[in-house]
Amino acid sequence: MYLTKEEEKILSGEYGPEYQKAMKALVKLGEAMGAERLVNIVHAHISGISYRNIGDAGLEFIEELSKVKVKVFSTCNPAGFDLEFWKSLNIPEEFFVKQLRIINALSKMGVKTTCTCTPYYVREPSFGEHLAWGESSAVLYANTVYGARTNREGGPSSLFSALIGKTPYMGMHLSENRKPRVIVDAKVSIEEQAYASTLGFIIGDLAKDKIPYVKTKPSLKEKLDLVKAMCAGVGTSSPLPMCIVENVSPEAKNADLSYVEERIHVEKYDLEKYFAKYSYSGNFDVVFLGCPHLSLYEVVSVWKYISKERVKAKYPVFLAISRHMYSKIPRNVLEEFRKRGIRVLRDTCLVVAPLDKMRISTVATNSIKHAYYLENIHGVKVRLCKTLECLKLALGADS
Amino acid sequence: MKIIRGRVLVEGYAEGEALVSKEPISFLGDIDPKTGIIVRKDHPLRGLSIKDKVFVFPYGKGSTVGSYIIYQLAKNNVAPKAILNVKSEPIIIIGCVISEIPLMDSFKENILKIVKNGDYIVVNGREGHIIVK
Repeated sequence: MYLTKEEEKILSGEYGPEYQKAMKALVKLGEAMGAERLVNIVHAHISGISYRNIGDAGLEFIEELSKVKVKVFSTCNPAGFDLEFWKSLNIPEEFFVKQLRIINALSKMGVKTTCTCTPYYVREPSFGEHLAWGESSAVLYANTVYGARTNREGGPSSLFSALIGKTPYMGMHLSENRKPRVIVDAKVSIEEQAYASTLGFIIGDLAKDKIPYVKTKPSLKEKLDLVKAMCAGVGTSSPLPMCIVENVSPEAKNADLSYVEERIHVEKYDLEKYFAKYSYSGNFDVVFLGCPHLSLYEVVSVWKYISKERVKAKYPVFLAISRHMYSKIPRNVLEEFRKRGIRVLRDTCLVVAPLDKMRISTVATNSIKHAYYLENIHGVKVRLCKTLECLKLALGADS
Repeated sequence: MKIIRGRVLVEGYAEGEALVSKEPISFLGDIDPKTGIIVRKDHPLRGLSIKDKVFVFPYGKGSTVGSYIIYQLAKNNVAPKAILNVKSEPIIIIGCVISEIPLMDSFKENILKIVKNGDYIVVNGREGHIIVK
């Protein structure tokens, strides 16, 4: 791989062992994937910061790097709890302390501790911009919706890229790798998040590692919350960094379809199979909405619905959102949530939280990504259902 | 005995028994970082450990936190001796880079068809081939 004189200096350790370690790893990654050089990035998004998921090994790894600063605007993924309300969530002291050590290490490095999987709400990417993002759903959203360019960086490589301000020039950074190779015809109405995320999961499962050109009826135009849910589903079942969505992706209009090898049809029946897979029924410890973190529009939709049903929640409802977006929620909405037993959690979600300690073992959610990881990482019993059904369950309106 | 050439992504040499997953792997969710046991509910190899195995699977999928799960496996001494993929992606590659686990992909033949569970594999991640015994 070609390196500039400055990059060579970093590699030889002239700027210290931390930058050297980061550069060495990026060069290895780049050489493995056949990159010719590094490219400057404008935003790094660092995944793998929850103590629940990276453990002591990850904590020490991040702390060892924390003597030096990041070179570009950097944000980070959700942590194991809301940084302000952790005691009432039954978070053990030891977990709290270790999670804070991770957050403090990142903060010391100059990372904005946004603790969200929706960094695009904090800083919107521009078309063609080079990024180094971790968090599979965010990577998909950046490439798909904005036409920005990022690979699916693993947690450590997103951190290394933040430190160097560069990433190997390969994969999604090159136009030739952004061409669709599968057409997905989804003849199913996906009017809400549970269906959108499940459609995404199926697309990832069937398209495998081939970038799909997704056609839906009706179109997903201006339904970015549904595209967001779909991206999260795709990221769970596949290694795909991007989709090209008709009427949504800037690269859809002039997409070169000459590399398309196959056409996949998805029917409503295909989606229903997945709902049957996550069909726990019984009492719920939590009804969870917010994977990925909610947009303001999604929060207001919940508020509108509960305003019609004048009852208090039967089961605790958690809405997960970024701290950034939380600050935009009107006070009266927050007050209404509080009265109804609906908690708005910032900085976190259930997948990255210590659920066993929080005594959460049954969950209803509208996100297949959450369903998949809750079942497999935490052994939680899950019901996957539409957003409205989740709220009906919580408010007991169906009984 | 069969020699198959492939691309070296992370250099190294290893020998061991193969564990072959026909399905892609998300290290977060599919593997327990403390024990190396496959925990995904619907995975055909559920309950088996990848510790000290030559772990063969088509490609990585899912969470970008997977790299840290690989790193934890190494720190907990339950990592596979080597990983062989049909095609690797950055999450697996960077996980193996920081954990110093030999990694190869893009083999001349379909390793998912040739390599069977329990086969003894020599991974020569210096010369760029594997030997299936």
